[in-house]
Amino acid sequence: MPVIKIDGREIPFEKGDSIIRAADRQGIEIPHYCWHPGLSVAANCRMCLVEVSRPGGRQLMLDVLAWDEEKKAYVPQKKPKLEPACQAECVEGMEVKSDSSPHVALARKSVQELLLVNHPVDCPICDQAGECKLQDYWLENQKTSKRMLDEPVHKPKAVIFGDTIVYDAERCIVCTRCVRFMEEVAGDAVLEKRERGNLSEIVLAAGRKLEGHYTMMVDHVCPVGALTTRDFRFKARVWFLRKSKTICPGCATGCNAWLDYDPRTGEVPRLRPRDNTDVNKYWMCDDGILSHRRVQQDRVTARASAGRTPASRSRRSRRRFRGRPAARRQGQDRLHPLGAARERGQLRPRHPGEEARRQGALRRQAARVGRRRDPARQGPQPEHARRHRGRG
Amino acid sequence: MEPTDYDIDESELDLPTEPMRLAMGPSHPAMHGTIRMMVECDGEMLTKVDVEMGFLHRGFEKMCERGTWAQCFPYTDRLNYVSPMLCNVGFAHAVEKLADIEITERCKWYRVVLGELARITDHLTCNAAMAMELGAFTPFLWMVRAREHIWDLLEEETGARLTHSFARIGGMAKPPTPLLKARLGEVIPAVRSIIDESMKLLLKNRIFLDRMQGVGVMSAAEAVQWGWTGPTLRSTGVAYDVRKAHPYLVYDQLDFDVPVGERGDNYDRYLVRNEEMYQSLRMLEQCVQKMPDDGPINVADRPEIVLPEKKDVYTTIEGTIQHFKLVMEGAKIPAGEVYGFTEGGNGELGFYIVSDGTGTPYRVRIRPPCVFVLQSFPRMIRGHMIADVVPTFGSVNMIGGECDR
Repeated sequence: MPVIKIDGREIPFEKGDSIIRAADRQGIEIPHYCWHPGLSVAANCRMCLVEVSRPGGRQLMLDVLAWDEEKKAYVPQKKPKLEPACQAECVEGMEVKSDSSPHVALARKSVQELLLVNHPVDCPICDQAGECKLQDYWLENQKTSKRMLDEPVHKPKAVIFGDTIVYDAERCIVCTRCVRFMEEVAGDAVLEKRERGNLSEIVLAAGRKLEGHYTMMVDHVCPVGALTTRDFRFKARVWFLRKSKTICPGCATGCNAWLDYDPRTGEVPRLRPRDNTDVNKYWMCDDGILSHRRVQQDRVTARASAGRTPASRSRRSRRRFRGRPAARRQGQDRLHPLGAARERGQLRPRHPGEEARRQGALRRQAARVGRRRDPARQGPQPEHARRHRGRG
Repeated sequence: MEPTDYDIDESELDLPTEPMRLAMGPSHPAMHGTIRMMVECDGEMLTKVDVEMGFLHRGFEKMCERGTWAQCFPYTDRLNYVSPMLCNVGFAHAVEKLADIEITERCKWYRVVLGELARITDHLTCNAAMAMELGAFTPFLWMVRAREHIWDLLEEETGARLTHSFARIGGMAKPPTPLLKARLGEVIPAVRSIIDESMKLLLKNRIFLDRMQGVGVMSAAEAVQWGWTGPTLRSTGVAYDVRKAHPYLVYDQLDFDVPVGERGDNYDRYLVRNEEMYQSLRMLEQCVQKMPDDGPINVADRPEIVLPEKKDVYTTIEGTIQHFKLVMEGAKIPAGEVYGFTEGGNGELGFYIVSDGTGTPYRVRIRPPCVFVLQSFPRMIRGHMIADVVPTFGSVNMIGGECDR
């Protein structure tokens, strides 16, 4: 397999791979916003800029003026022309400098600063806080405070995009992942980008709203808090949630998913896709994402047969129920479609009461039939039963 | 107990006796409610003393492992709770050593000022309580009055009289108040005159002298072997003081002496603490002269560790992100381990900390100075009388929070 070098480390690649994809496969993260493994390359966020030198080829250099501290003046200097790692295709023998290049570090810092120039102070009320790339990359790459003290550009907030999605244009970095997702994966180009520069924002196509079976995925492709689902909005703070691997119980596709649950209450506020290129790639449908609701909704919490408490049952049924733990008696704790959380006793199946009742009836019926046909299978009889039979 | 109808042989008055076992504490007033001593006595003479510590164990070190680094400061307040500021500074010092942070000049001075104030309250409390446990209630009230002056000042500076939680990794919670130096100018002479008076109350008191002198003697060689540090070690004649031996903050720029005792008895420990208070006051006077009046308190070049200013948090997204990351995930202290040590109220207060590079300490181990003194207590008290336990234990200055952790 051909290899490239990233920061001196050899990385194998397949023909046609971009640098970022080859690195991603090896678990090396090159900071990025707009690149998504399942979408086309836009190369518009400029976060993944790296220093590239190709074998035999001359490294592209730029003439720049750089501040010289000793001379107290700007002096002409050469600087490598950086390339987006999401777009540059891997070539055998290519050498890439990512974390090891001061030019790359400066570029990331500047890009990050630019992206935050008009960003509102929203972290305390933003659902993305805690899993936001803007936060992560600020700490990793920028670490400086604000220099632009002008009033930031204001844009529409809390725009209703449809029944499922709310858009905040101020938080948006216009990476166009959502636009590309709707066009390329959902096959419905309902989202568009309008205006340019710091006025650009995502809008709906004229006369349309965001609808279909794959609307909620735009929240999950959004690297910042611009797109939020109306389902999860303001429901939980993500740092209180724990995640558990699960399979979406919605249909037979069996999309791999993350189940985010609140360990304090046992509630499951969201389900989100887990990458599996063989099954669901990176995506999930709206029905699947919303299936977390079924964990809480329409739950059997009391015995189904109204008016029949254990005290009013027949003697036989009382005997049958005696000595069983309460949970078993209610038929709970049997089926666990959402496996991982069940081990903690937090999730219960949907309609187990009825299920158990029906199965119990079948079992009893089968037992009665079997006894009548094959006396040998009865085993030792209780004393009173034998006496009864003898007298009869 | 011996049977009462014991057949006494007139010629043999030497009754066969068994040593009596007594439990002193934990509710004995001189045991501070935090310790029990099983003493075995032959008459009033102690033959064996077994010190049982741990009544105030709260799992401090373990608790540190579940919060962020910054969240350890309130715990350190509750180590040596008569000089919490010294523990605050000690922990900050260790973490800064691991993270390779050079704190600002003004912050160094500020930490010395608050730390030395805390040291005076520590020694005042120890000496006052020791005298009180010998029945001298007036000197206690007298010295506590001096402590009030200092606590008022500390309250003005930090917002709390006792549990300040004031130090931060890379700085302090707040810069000094504008009135700090003026208030120091008032407090230093007031405290000095009170200490003078308290010494007049005690040093000519025959009861006090008789019960202090020659009691609880420890030799210098043995004290070193037991791992003693601080005023108790210095009372035996060993001039080891972390501030002189391994200067940190700005102690190398301050002119102060390390007082030592001669015999290592209770009386020497009392005198050493008294003299250290005078030395601390001397240092504070120099701090008033030398401490810069302006300049940053927190380091500016470590945004991944030091919290941003509140006005930035509320008005800029960069400040908000910085605050969010530091509060929710904690400052990421580089992986490694370090032993940071400072001169606490009772001696060398050490923090052995291990970081795995996350925002939460992997391990925080404390070297509490008074444990080492307390463990040798049976050695100090052997052969003395039951009543001598009280002043000797008082002179050890065992602080439950620090000892049991």
